[in-house]
Amino acid sequence: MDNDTLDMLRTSLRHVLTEANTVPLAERLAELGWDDVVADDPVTALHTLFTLKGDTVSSADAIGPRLAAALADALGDPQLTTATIGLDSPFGPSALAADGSLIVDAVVFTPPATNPVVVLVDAVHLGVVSGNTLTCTALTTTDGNLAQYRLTGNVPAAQVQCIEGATASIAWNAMVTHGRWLIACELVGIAQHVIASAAQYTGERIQYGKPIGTFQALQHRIASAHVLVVGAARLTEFAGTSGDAWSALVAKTVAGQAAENACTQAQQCYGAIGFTWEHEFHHYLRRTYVLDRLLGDWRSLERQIGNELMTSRQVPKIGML
Amino acid sequence: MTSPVATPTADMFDSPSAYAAALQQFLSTDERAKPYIGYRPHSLEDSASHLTGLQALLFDSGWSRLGWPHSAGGLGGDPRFRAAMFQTLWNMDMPIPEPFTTLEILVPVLLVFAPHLSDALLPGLLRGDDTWAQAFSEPDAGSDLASLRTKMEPDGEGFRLTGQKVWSTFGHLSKRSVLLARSGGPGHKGLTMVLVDLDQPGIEVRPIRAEDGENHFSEIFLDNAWVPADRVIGTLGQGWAIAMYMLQWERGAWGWLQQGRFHQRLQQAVELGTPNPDFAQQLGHAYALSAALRLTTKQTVERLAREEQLGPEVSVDKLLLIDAELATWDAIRAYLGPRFEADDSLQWLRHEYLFSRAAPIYGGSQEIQRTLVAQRVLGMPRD
Ligand SMILES: Cc1cc2nc3c(=O)[nH]c(=O)nc-3n(C[C@H](O)[C@H](O)[C@H](O)COP(=O)(O)OP(=O)(O)OC[C@H]3O[C@@H](n4cnc5c(N)ncnc54)[C@H](O)[C@@H]3O)c2cc1C
Repeated sequence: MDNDTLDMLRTSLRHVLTEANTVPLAERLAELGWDDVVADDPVTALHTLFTLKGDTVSSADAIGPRLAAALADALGDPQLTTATIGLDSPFGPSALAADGSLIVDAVVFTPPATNPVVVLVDAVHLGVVSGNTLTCTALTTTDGNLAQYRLTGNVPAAQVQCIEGATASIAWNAMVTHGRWLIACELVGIAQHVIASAAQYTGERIQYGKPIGTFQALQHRIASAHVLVVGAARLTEFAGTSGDAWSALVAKTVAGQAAENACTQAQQCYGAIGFTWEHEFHHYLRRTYVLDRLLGDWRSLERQIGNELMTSRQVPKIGML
Repeated sequence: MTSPVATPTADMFDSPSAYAAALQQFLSTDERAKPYIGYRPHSLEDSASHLTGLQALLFDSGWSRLGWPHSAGGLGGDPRFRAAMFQTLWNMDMPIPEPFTTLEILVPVLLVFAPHLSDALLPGLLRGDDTWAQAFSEPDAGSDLASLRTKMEPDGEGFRLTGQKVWSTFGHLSKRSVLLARSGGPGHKGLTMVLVDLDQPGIEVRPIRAEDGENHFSEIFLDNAWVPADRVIGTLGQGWAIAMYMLQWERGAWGWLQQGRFHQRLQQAVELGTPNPDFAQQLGHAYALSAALRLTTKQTVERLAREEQLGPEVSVDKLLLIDAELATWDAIRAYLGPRFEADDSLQWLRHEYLFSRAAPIYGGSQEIQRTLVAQRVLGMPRD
């Protein structure tokens, strides 16, 4: 994609992400000819969309359809592109009972209606059930603007389709990898916004007769936060082009950490105003906390990386010259 | 066994990675490379003399000449070839000879501002026949480098230097040094960069023992030392501008070289240690930062290879390097447990650990870099 096309794309995506409109994002994107843009250059298109989504703290459900597309693609089952993917629920796992019925407990971003719902049961089992066999309850989360729903139910064996073995684990992992990359893009978008906006504010707010941005204590907070964001951005770009599981894992780890740290440092620069609902900041903070939890929070992922290094006794290198 | 390739040239390889693979093949099959694989030095002097052999081997077989221009005795190709060589040496657990790191910082500057010097002197430097130091800092000019006082006065066909330099890495093991002196009035504009011979009557070099117990750097006393006019780098008064140009290499390309070390040392640690979930997060954190450094400096090396002019954003590379370096060594020390402090066979690793404590100080301290990033990259106001 050349720079002019990319600029145009950014402008129209920003509009779609911020307009007041209840039509699902997927349908509004479709009107833009989004499917062709993605088909043409998926990495740039998706990277741009999710980074902007972070930048604008848009609440549209962009990730749900992408997870379904990734799973459908990995399974070679186009019907599943309309599926709703049930992510880990904080209240308990989904499980297969002895009689073959499926106990569902999962989290989604859009109510599934009658669409199929796919949940992870264990490393080698996915359960597929119809959305209308489940109870859908809106969740109250840290981020009230980002809709999340809990799906629960006990679906009899006859209504459960099971995907098993390596097919199941390979497909689910491919979906997780894709999702981690996209969430990393979004977290980087948040972090970049928060840093730029705090840096600007410190140039405007005057105390002791000068802009507070002249104080080294604030300069150093923002600079050190920026450094991790740059690292996260490079990892995220690489994870997009390479598409491999390890770089997406590391990218989401650093992006989660960078966004949380950017929020912590930026908040201090705002003083009291940043602590209020009169300021946009709290939306970014809340969104960061909720996004970081999806597909593994950064602390858990750091542990996962460390365990992998210790047990494999191998330290892989990401990216070659 | 014989070496598989005659003299390599840049056009033999599609990419620096292809070159790296061929170099790895050479180093793992050529008998002459054996003494350097997994080499653990007893002291810095021991390491310096042993690794001269590796430098000569890499030069004579042509591998270290890639990434340098033909005019200066190189074999062509852009700086990514040099970066790929460093990565390959780390992959093979072969230490990077210290003069290479000085070269990486000083020679790109000569290529632009004093090609007559790089053309004449690079081959000897690259081969290890000659070693150079960098003498900028003074006892009263650390972070505030532009306040330096070493005097440079015209005398016939050259100049006389009088003053004192300090913290000059490898100074006592070097034949020459790039030096920043005051040829004019106060401030940035009065500074000039020269290449001075250290083995002359007007100069005394005294090694200083660093935290790791090694004579890592030196004091240099100059009393009417001589420097011929053709050893001026750039022009009189251009010293500060050239020092700023140098920073893109000192802060950018250096980071790539170091991330190779961090990955290699983490590799050593996971080979030596006993898996223990208590240390999983600390190791994961160190690895993630090293990976972030790797991709960030990879982009910087690629930009340098395209001859882009890099600005204050290279301070980001240096700051990320500091974070990655401290995190990596802290994780290694924690993971290896009490034996890290006591095991005889780990002395070399302890020395590297101790040396890592200098990361936030040298080459512009962490505070100086953060201020640069805040003001010049993020546009925060200056006082
Ligand atoms: C291992 C090592 C190798 C080195 N190699 C070389 C070499 O080869 N050639 C060479 O010329 N020099 C070399 N140096 C010197 C190095 O560049 C200086 O140490 C560095 O510039 C800092 O100067 P200083 O040590 O005098 O500390 P100071 O400038 O005295 O700083 C002390 C503390 O004050 C802080 N500080 C100072 N000014 C400010 C400010 N404006 N704002 C906020 N904080 C501030 C610093 O961040 C630091 O924490 C080396 C140093 C080390 C440790």
